[in-house]
Formats: sequence, structure tokens, C-alpha cells
Amino acid sequence: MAEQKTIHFKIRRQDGPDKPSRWEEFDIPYREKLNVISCLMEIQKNPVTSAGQKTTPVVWECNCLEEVCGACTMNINGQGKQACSALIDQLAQPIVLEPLTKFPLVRDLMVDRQIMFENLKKVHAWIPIDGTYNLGSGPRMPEVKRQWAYELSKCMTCGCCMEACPQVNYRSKFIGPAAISQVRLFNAHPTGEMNKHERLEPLLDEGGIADCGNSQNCVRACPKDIPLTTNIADLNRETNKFALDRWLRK
Amino acid sequence: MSTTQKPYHFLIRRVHSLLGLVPIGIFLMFHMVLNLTALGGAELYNRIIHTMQSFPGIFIIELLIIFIPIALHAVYGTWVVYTGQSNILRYKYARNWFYIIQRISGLYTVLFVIIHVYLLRFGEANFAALQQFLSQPLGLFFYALGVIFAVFSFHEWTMGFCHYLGFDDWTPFSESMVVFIGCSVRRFIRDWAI
Ligand code: HEM
Ligand code: SF4
Ligand code: SF4
Ligand code: FES
Repeated sequence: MAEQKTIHFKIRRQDGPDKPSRWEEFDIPYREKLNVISCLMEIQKNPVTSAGQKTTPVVWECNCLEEVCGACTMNINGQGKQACSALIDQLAQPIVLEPLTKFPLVRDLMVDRQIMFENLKKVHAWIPIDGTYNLGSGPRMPEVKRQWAYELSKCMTCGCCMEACPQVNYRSKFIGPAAISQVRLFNAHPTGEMNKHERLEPLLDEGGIADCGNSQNCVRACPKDIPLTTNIADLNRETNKFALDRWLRK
Repeated sequence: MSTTQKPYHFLIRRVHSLLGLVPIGIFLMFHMVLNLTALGGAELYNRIIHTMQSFPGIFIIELLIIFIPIALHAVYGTWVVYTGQSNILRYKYARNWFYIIQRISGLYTVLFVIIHVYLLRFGEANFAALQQFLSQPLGLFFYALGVIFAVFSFHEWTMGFCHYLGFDDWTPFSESMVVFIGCSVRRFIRDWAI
């Protein structure tokens, strides 16, 4: 690859939730094997735009720097990605950075993904094991199943799937594919299975599984290759059975 | 956290799906097969239409299994379309195109169905009327698009429906719908040639 002198960035800035947004452009000296975070750090050290104007450092979030926490997710050239694993050498320039659009903005590239955690609470995405006495050990999980479930457990609540999903937006209450997929994970667990109904029930709600429009964007957007649409299809079947059963027993 | 259970949401969505699939879908297929008889010439086609129209109670049947389901489906479907927000400019996946096209085709289909019904059901339905309409390029375009969109809608939604039953992707049924589109296109070329 021909050596590039600089890396050109176009970043959407916004000082706060109700402030107007603006574009700022930056040029970073090229080095090999940079990622978007390391470039943002360069900007932080020297917050001067391409036009030579001094500005405030760009605000963003990150934690793990190895694509497991999801905190650094932002729109990079129009699509949701992790800034820490987005390698400059693989991106078309100018590199356009924007905050995710499906979550309330905090500042610049930082958004508040709390709604995703609320959705996980809604669908009871955990396994209750507390009792007033020792409940003993749970049933064993077959190794093949554990390996399969591990793939689903890789979800880092990053929001790429929410960003790509046309059914998640300010007009809809759809909880999105990630939370639905977690229902499958926890219902597949031999102990979690005992509370299956607590997770299926909220999926029948407004904003639940029926609000998926089957565009199948989520599965392509997920950085962890979680088979989201397969999980949704499976839970469609499960919720159909569950709803029918509940109705017939009334 | 407690969830506020809106017990009918799931049911409404599933009934909407079923309305699209069973009465409307079966009707559409029936209608297409009927139309294929036009290949047998004007006389056969007119005779079949006449037989259909002289069934006793045909109006009630039409109202019950065609008109009401389509109306309900279209009204709620339009709401569903409103709750979506396309992002095709950023995510140019093939499936995302289908998502938006199926919504556009749904909306177009309502328009098409209204005009189509107005012209033919309450107007005069015979071979000559159709032939005349279809021999205008605009008329042909309107019809061809209408049918392709209606069938496309149906094909897409059917795949969606399979998804709702828990099947992941392409099914032999959806394949057969592609064949259907082929048939309808052929039919138009044929009609136009007449
Ligand atoms: C009149 C305008 C129409 C609109 C606005 C419309 C819209 C929709 C929408 C948005 C869905 C998806 C529901 C969901 O995601 O939960 C749907 C489902 C369906 N539609 Fe329509 N539609 C229309 C007409 C038709 C017509 C004419 C047909 C038949 C040829 C049809 C067949 C279906 C079928 C089979 C389904 C069920 C499968 C599924 O739920 O994915 N629709 N429709
Ligand atoms: S398949 Fe469903 S959940 Fe996934 S992106 Fe499409 S509408 Fe959203
Ligand atoms: S399912 Fe994938 S895209 Fe969605 S939040 Fe989890 S890791 Fe991110
Ligand atoms: S910093 Fe954790 S995913 Fe990027």
C-alpha cells in the first residue's frame, strides 16, 4: 500500500444533548497499524482542526480496547463499529465518525446505551440462583451445548445491531435483537430454563419480538457474529407456542 | 422490573400476519391462476368470469374473505410501515433492500388494489376491457408493477411468515413464488401481444 502522509477525519461534534451539531475535520500524521481510538487520542493531545483552528478534544468512550466491552461503538463511515478494533489501514478516507443514532447523545461520540440494559432487565436476562437456603448444584449442561451457548454469550451490548435495525427508532418501542437473543441464551441454560416463562412473557409485549420486521440487518451488523436472526426465528416459535398454550389454559 | 403487559400486541401482530397469508394470499394465488385462463383466449376467460360472478352469495364471500381482510391488513400494515425507519443509505445489504421494497410494494399494492377493484369489479370486467387498458403503455406499466409488487409482497411476507414459525431463511415455498412472478410476467407479455 502506498504510504499516506496523513489520516483525514471528519467528525460530527455536539457539545450536549440539546446543542446544535457541527462537523470538524482533523488530519493525523500517518503511522502504521493505528486504530480509530489511537487517532482520537492524537486529537486529544492536540485538538487542532485541519484548518488550524484550536478546538475542544473530541469526547468518546472506551474500556477494554479489545472489542469485548462495546463501549467504543460509534458510526464509522456510516456503520456501527467498535472504534478500538477499527483499523485505519482498512478504512476508506476521509474517515467519518458519528455517534450512534439510536441512543440519546451525551456529547460528541458518546451516547447513553442504558436502554439496552433496561431491555435486558425487561426480559430477565439472568439466571436466578439465590435462595434462602443452599439450593445445591444445578443440572449439568452438555459440553456441545455449552460451546454453542458460549457464542451467544459473546454479546457485549454494543448496540451495532440496534443501529442497523430499521425497527429500532424513536417511533417504535422495539427492544431490539440483542435482548431477544439473550432470552435464547438464558432459556437454553439448564437452570435458566426453569424460569423460561419469565423471559418469554415480556417478549409478547409491545416492543417485543413481534415488532421485528425481518430485515435481517442485525445479523450482518453484529461484530460478534451472533446468529441473531436464527435466534429470533427460534424464539418466534417459542413465543407462538407459549402464547397459544397460555391462551388455551385460560 | 415489572413489565406492563399489553396482552393483545402479540396477538394482533400474528393475526395481521395470518390475514396477509391465508385469506389474502390464497385469494391472490387463486386470482393469478384464474388470470392464466386468459391464455386460453377471450371466450374462455369471459366465460369463467361470468361463472364466477353468477355464483350465489359471491358478494358476501368477497366481502368476508377478501375485502375485510385486505382492508384490516392494509390499515394495520400501514401503521407497521410507519413504525419502521429505513437505513438503506447506510446499510446497503440485500435483505435491507427487500425490507424497504416490501414496504413500498405494500403501499403501492393498496393503491393498485383500490384502482383495480374500482375499474373492474364495479366497472365492466371482460377480456376486451382489460385488453384495451393493457394496450396503453402506462396502463401496462401500472398493472405490471402492481402485480409484480403484489406477488413480491406476498413472497417476502411469506418468507417472513416462515420466520415467525421458526424457520430461518429461504424455503421451497418462497422459491415457488419466484416461479409465480415469472408466470405473471409472461402473462403480461402474452396479453400485450394479443
Ligand atoms: C395494502 C397494503 C399493504 C401493506 C401496507 C402491507 C404491509 C404489511 C406489513 C408491514 C407486514 C409485516 C408485518 C410485520 O412485520 O409484523 C405485512 C405482512 C404480510 N402481508 Fe402485507 N401489506 C399490504 C398488502 C398486502 C397484500 C396485498 C398482500 C398479499 C398479496 C400482503 C401479504 C402479506 C403477508 C402474507 C404478510 C404476513 C407475513 C409476515 O407477517 O411477515 N400484504 N404486510
Ligand atoms: S431482523 Fe428484526 S431485529 Fe434484526 S435488524 Fe431486522 S427488524 Fe431488526
Ligand atoms: S448482538 Fe452483537 S451487535 Fe448486538 S449488542 Fe450484542 S454484540 Fe453488539
Ligand atoms: S473499547 Fe471495549 S469494545 Fe472497544
